[in-house]
Amino acid sequence: MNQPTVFVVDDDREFRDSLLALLAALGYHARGYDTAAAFLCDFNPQLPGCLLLDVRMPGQNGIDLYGDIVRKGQRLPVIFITAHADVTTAVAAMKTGAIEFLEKPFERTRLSELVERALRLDSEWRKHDERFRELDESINRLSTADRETLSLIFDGVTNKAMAARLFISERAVELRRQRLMRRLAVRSVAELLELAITHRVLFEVRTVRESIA
Amino acid sequence: MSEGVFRMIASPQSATDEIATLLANERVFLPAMDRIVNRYETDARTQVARLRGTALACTTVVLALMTGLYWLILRPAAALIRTQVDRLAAHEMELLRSQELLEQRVDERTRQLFESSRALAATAAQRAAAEDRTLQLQGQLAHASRLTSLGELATGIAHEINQPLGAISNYAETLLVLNERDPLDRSALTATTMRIRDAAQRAGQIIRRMRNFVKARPQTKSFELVNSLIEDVIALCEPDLRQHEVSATTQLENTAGLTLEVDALGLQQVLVNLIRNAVDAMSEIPAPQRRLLVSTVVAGSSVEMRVQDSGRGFQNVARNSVLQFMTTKPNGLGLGLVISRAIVEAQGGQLEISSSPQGGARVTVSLPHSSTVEPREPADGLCCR
Repeated sequence: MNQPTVFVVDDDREFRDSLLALLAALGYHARGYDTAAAFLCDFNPQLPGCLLLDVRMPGQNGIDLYGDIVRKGQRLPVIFITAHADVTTAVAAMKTGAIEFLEKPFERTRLSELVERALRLDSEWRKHDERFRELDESINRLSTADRETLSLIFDGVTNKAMAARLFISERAVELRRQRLMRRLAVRSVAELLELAITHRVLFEVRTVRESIA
Repeated sequence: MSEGVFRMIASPQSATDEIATLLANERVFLPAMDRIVNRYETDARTQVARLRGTALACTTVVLALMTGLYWLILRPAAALIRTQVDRLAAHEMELLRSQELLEQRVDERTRQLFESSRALAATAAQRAAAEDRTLQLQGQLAHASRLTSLGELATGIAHEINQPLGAISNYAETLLVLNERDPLDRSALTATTMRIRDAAQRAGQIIRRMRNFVKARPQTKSFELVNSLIEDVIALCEPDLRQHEVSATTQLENTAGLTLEVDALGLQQVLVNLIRNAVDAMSEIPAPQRRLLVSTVVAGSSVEMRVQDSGRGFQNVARNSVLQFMTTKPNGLGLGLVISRAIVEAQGGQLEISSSPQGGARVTVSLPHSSTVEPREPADGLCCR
């Protein structure tokens, strides 16, 4: 697994270098870019990490850059660096879903606290995405019959009712359930339901995110 | 009878004889005497009566005459005279009244004149005071404008200073982290410390530039030093230029031996104003086309300093109206060019606006130079003063 990278985007060379030096001293792997465009060129969504952005930069400023990333359907936790946090900037940033604001000059403990949080969030997001992909695959591999069963279980239909609806015996229904659970690698109905719900939720989140983009 | 009396009288005898004679003769004479006397009396009476009559007649005539005189002459004459006298009196009255009126009017007029002369004196005093005040206000306005420019630049400058400060902070934190390591990485510590020093120097330069901008020091400067003054100003404006993605170039002719009598501060202020105008003018064209050119050139007996942009220029605007209180900027006060021109003219120079061949705005500041050879060092010291 790749070591997460802290991506630093700031047009002031002296400040950017100092930030890279500090991050290195704190033990993080960091890379610097002087413009938003330069970063977007290099940006690979597969690489884990987080973003340290200066809000005010000529050309595309930090907030617009983050909006762009979100619109592309990508996600990277962002920490905005600002000389002074004024309300308009803050609101604009929060609207795009930024994580945090860092007002300079800042202390190393604050920096590492925020970077840790951001990297943790990034790995959680990746895990969620991974889980979703696995689930999606498993569910897509289900046969029509299994899907039917899942859907009915989801609706809270009893075995008896299910048997009646599907014109099969209760024992057949029971077998179906077992097969389903085996296929999805769950050990109980509770787990099964949890899985299905998670898939549903992740699916909806992804749909919503794509509709915003 | 008479002879006898006469003889008697003529021949005097003794008195007593005479008297006896007389008395003897008296009886004879007496009736005659009586008769004479009576005659005389009658005559006298008649005469008297006649006289009386005459007198009466005369008196009557005289009286009549007099009455006639009175009625026909004296009275009308008197009346006439009275009328005349009355008229004269009336005229005299009128004259007196007119004289009074005249005196009144003269008095009034005198008073009016006095008051208007006083008012004139007051107005003159007011005007002098107003001129003083105008001069004072102009000075204040120039100062305020300087501060406004400064205020407007302050945001950019504050941002600029925050950068080295932020860097210093980061390096300091880095030092703290490095310091906790065991064993200490000496080269990393040294390198980081040097970076702190560099950042501090940079911050000092920013401060120095800003302080020079605020201080007022009119002095003689050599041409080279004017050029470096221009470069200073451009560096001062750098954050603003960068923020608006304007690329700035300078073409500074460097003729040694020329000196100019300049108010360095004022000139800097003018330059800042012109540069900011240029940046504003180019805000509506795409970023890659934003070009600012600042040049100096010797032209005869003056030095010309030119600020040119690649914006839309002074298109539908009469040249001189731009130099009044006019602005096309939404938040501008329109004072920049007016004050800039005032500052330049106060140094004996001129400010002209024109268009570049590509249509952009061009402002030329020309200042007279003297060809003395001594370039003097400016009094500003190094950083961090």
